[in-house]
Amino acid sequence: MAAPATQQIKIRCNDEKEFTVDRDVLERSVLIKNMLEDVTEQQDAPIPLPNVSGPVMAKVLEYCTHHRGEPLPSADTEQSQDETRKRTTDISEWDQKFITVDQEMLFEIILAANYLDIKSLLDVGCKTVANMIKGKTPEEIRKLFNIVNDFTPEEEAQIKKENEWAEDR
Amino acid sequence: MAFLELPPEVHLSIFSYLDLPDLAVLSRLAPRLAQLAADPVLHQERLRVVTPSRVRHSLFATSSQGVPLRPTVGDLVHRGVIRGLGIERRWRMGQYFYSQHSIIQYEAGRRLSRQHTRDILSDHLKRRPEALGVLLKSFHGTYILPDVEFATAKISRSLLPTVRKLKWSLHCDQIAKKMRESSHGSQEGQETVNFGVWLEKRGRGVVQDTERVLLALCPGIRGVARRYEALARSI
Repeated sequence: MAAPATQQIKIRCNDEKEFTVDRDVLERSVLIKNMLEDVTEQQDAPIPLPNVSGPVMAKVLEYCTHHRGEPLPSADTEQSQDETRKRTTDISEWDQKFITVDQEMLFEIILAANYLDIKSLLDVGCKTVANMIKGKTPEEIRKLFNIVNDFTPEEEAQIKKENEWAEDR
Repeated sequence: MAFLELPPEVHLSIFSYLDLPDLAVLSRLAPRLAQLAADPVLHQERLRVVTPSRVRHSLFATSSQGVPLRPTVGDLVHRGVIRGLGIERRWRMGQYFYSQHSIIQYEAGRRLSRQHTRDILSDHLKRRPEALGVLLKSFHGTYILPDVEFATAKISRSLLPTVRKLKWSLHCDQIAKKMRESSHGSQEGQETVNFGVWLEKRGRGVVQDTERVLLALCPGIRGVARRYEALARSI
């Protein structure tokens, strides 16, 4: 009965690190879920994930393990999407704690979630970045994300002029 | 890995949580971000999802007690935010209640009523009997602190203030002495029975909480008591 739920899947990251994970944990990732559905016969060879490194995968698996068993959001649930859109700052406590990592790791997790197609994790990451950006001045964001100013002065004046109407809070 | 190196779909996903002011700030950071921040689908989504929920919130949201957060016209009139002539009446009757004209009328009416009050007050002040001031002065001189020094020629004019001050403090001492004596109960049986003594002896049946009555009569009593206690301890 419970055999498919406890099935162990091996994955291999780009730094040759391998993980053996329960199938239902891995299926939080739509990418891997589709892969597993395509492959019908039992395989022992690990699934290669060339875009994810070991430490990041460990983090992602931590998230998936915590959220295992929760219903996967389907693409057509407009309502739930509206709900998540509405309240940007709402990140659950566990997720908040989970996502308090350095910037490098945060972006890596977002990339991995994007690649592995884990919508809820991607949302958490994007919300966190959005919250970092909110209400800051351009200089503060430049400092925060280490972005050099490669506008010419004319271009910058032009952009500033175009957006004047929006900055009027 | 840096913010700018994220793929465009991730950028757009992040941007979808931001509103116009933040998007305007982002578009000033790098040309690529400017291009993404102006993405038509992003803005369509923003208008379709974010804006209606915001408008709904600011128009119809209620607090946790179920009270609408948005004040009605009546509330605003009571708080003095909206001013004008008969706004509440007109609003309740479903009429237009706001016009430049009604505000001017309202302001003029307020100015007139202020002017009216000022007129009445100054009229009363003018008609005040001239003699009252003199009467008060003579009352003070006769009963409170007789100004005998001024009448005698023995005291130099320049010494007058000092003498008055001295007399005043002597007066104070006298009163204090009287109070102390009466509170020690030395005048028991006389007509001027001290209230504190009365309270101690016979007031118990009438007033239960003497402490509280004393406090009400002389609110500073606790501070005084504390000061004397501290003094006693220090000695």
